[in-house]
Amino acid sequence: MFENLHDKVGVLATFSPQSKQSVYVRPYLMQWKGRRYKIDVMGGHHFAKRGQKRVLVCGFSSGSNDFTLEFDPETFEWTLVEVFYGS
Amino acid sequence: MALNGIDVPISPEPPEVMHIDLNGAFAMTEQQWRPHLRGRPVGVSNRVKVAGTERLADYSICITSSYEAKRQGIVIGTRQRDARLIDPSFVMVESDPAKYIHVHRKLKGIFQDYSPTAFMKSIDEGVIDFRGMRQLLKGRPLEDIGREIKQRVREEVGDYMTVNVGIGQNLWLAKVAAGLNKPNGLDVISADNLREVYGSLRLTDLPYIKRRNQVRLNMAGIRTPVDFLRAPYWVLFRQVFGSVLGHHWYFKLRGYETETWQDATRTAGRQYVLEHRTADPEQILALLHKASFKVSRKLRMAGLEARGLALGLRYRAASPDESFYSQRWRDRHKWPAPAHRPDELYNRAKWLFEHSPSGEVVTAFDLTAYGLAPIRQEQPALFVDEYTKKSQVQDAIDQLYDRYGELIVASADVAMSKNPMKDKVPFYSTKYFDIVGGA
Repeated sequence: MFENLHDKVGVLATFSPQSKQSVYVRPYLMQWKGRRYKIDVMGGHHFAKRGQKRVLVCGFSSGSNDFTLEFDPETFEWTLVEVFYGS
Repeated sequence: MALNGIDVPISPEPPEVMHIDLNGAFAMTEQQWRPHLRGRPVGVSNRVKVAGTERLADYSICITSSYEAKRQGIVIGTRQRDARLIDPSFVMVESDPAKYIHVHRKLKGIFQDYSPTAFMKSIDEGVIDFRGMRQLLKGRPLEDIGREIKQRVREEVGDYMTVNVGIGQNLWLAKVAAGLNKPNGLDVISADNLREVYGSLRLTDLPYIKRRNQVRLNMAGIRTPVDFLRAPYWVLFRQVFGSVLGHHWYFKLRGYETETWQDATRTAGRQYVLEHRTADPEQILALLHKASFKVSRKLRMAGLEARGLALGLRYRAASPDESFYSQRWRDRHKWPAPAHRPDELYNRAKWLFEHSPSGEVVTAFDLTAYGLAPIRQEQPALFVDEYTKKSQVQDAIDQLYDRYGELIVASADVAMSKNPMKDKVPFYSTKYFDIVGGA
């Protein structure tokens, strides 16, 4: 079952330079509603447009659920936008 | 007929065209992004829930399904409700064009590393043409390159992503080869195994041979791909296809090239299935107005204007089996002056709509601009005229769209329309991606 959200969350992530113009962003830990979720499997990431803004969208699994996060490179905010309850 | 009585042999050319397509592209992409969907029956739909509610839209249909779903008979066109009856663990996912465009661009980048002539045929399939490039390959077999591409797709696009690779003497045979061992196949069709491959297939396994063409061929006594290959030239040209298509098929089947890849944009359009079906002309016109905005945006981004506009309407059928008995109406017209602004396109769409049967419940429509040419650069008028004023307003609106998102400013009828018109996945042409640039 899917749930669409728009919750600001805390994320522990690494930012590794890939080339002169790109940085690889990889989240490792998410804090949501007081609980910590360790990222088990990274799904994929892509950019999506929100008006003129480009946000990074990451999909990953933690425990029995899949999560989708959006990272705003202008405000450095992470937003949890979707949860898929896998079990 | 020059070729009457002539038996053209199978082309002796080596297979040097590589066709690559993603396995169950959108469903596999969703499985890549959401690891818990892997190994489960998954479908992708343009609408999973009833708009504005959390209720599942039972009648929404799969536009694609994963291999796990396909094995159980959940294929394109299966309704969400039916899929859940077949397998209660079935999951329907809402399509996400931004994700598929990302995968499309990644694939395109990989293919273009091997040849500057590589091109994408659609959102999930591409071709690398190695003809005339043997020297650059330095004796490296194409199967080896195919395996390397598979590996790169797993590393650069996603570890769950697999592709079919087909190698053949022409574009069509390469596509046939890519479909031989799905998923994750790698096959070569050459002059040596061509007959053997045809012998293992049914007519409808061949690309572009669907029910109608099958009936045509059956009527001429052609029941298998081997019969198709053996059929004399004049039978295909005169009896079966009655056109140059017969000529193309005769040579295509033997490994000669008959296709050319058209790169120029020839049409720009928008199709829409109404969420709230209606016979009210005002509501239908509001939707046509919205579609005019979208078509106009596509044209303007490509720097094109259109002289022709076609409108197709689909009506609710009296029969319960709508897919078979639904009524269709279609008309088109070419105007002397080209148009690209939404108000111009809307006026033309309205004119076409006025010629359609009235009082029918419309379930879907499509609006297509054709007869495209680059927007004419008019000499600036000394005094600002009406046309210039409208164009300047449209330029300002385009800037607002770029900054804040599509249709952020629209006419009242479009803004009030109950039917949402979200961006959809384009199945065939991918030129729009190149026009709109990177997300």
